[in-house]
Amino acid sequence: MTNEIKTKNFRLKTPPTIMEVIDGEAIMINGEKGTYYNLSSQATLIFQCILDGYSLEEISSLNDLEPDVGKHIETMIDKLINEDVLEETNKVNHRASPSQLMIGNFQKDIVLTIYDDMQDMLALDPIHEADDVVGWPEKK
Amino acid sequence: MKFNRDLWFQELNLKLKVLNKDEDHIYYLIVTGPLKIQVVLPKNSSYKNAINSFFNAQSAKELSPTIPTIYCLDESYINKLPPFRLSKNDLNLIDFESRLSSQTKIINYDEKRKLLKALNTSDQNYLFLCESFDSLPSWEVYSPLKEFIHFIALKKNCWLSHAGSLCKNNKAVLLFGPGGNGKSTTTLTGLNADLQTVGDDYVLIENFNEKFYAHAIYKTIKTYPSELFDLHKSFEKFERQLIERTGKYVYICEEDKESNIFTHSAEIVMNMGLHLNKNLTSNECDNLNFDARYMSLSSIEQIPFWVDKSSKFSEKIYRSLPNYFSNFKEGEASLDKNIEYILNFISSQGYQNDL
Repeated sequence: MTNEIKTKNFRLKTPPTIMEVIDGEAIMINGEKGTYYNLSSQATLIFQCILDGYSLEEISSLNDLEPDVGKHIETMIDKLINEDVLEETNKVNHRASPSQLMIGNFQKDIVLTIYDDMQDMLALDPIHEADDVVGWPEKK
Repeated sequence: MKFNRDLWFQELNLKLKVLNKDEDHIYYLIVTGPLKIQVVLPKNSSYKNAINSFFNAQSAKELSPTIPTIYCLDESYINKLPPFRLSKNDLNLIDFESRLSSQTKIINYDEKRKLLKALNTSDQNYLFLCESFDSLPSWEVYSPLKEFIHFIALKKNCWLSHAGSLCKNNKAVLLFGPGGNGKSTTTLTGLNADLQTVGDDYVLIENFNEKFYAHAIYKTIKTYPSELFDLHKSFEKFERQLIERTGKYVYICEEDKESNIFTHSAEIVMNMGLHLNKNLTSNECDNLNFDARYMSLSSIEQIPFWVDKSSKFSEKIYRSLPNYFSNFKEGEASLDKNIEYILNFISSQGYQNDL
């Protein structure tokens, strides 16, 4: 699987996932699962490169990544694919220049944290019962 | 025709502004810490009672255009506002998108209670619309407008946290934990030991100059009647209501020097996680952990919007201050132990009287 991941391009799978970057860290929520994902700032840089249309192979070579670090990132991407956060795309559209891809080479700084303790709160909310056609309030 | 959220908010904004010139309305100004919020009500609205739950709400003669304004309106206004026609799917989607702060136009609709909350966080006008104020659930009356406060606070580097609090000498210890883990009871026990509070359920936290401050937003204390201890005399002068759903009384603690229950603001010196240990085995206890998640989860449960910002704020305060986890058993002795710890900790911080 890893060779495939290395050369492929990915995009955010939305729906069901939404994303926001706060203080340099990406936060994503999968609305179907209600799962919350937090990427460390280094992981966010890599993630943004991926969303900018770079393959992992390109990111690795542009940044001269250690093999262990490359493998660590592959595992992270694989997890995000399995979590329906990322999906493969054929549309390659480099939105950033290679000079913007400078990332650290430390495995410990590239962290994906997955939280499933808020699933009831964050999943798509099924409480709304407004009429599909007329909404609320009904015309008086 | 498909509902256009941008146009709807534009139209809403114009129609709400017209109400400012209408003499049938009354205005309130709420000030706490760095937050200023205006509330507009129809003159004879029964929602005045809810405004009385705010720690510091003053009548105002006119509205300031630079202060966020929440219009609290009932069904008699429905025809004066732009028609709201959203399908269940659209509502669900908006609700979900509002989990993250990238969404600035939020519409939350509670069909069961016919309650509509509309917020455009890049604008100053917010709408709280219900069929009737008299049928609102207790939390909309005794912790009113909390979603609105949440968004307005986050834009001002503050966070409305679901926490209890105890204060002495302008220092505060915040009490975190999911509902039923002793935030209110610990707050009440502390009050009984002559500590003060900035709130037993919600506290506005401000991050300023590398420090954190707690500000009172509501002046309500919720308690089971049996929990009042020696405080009974202090409390019996306050208006109280029974919340049938929980069996608790809620007291509206009118500010006066004699009661000395609330203080307006205090510097936060410690975060205390509370876990009321009812039936856990020692292994389960070992797995419990007080971390930034434990701090933020119940706040997120109460207000599941802009969760990214709530999480980041809680991480910041967790990393910046000393943290203590009290996994305690039911009973007076355990509560007293918590209070003793808090008192000792505050004493070790020295005095500060210039807040």
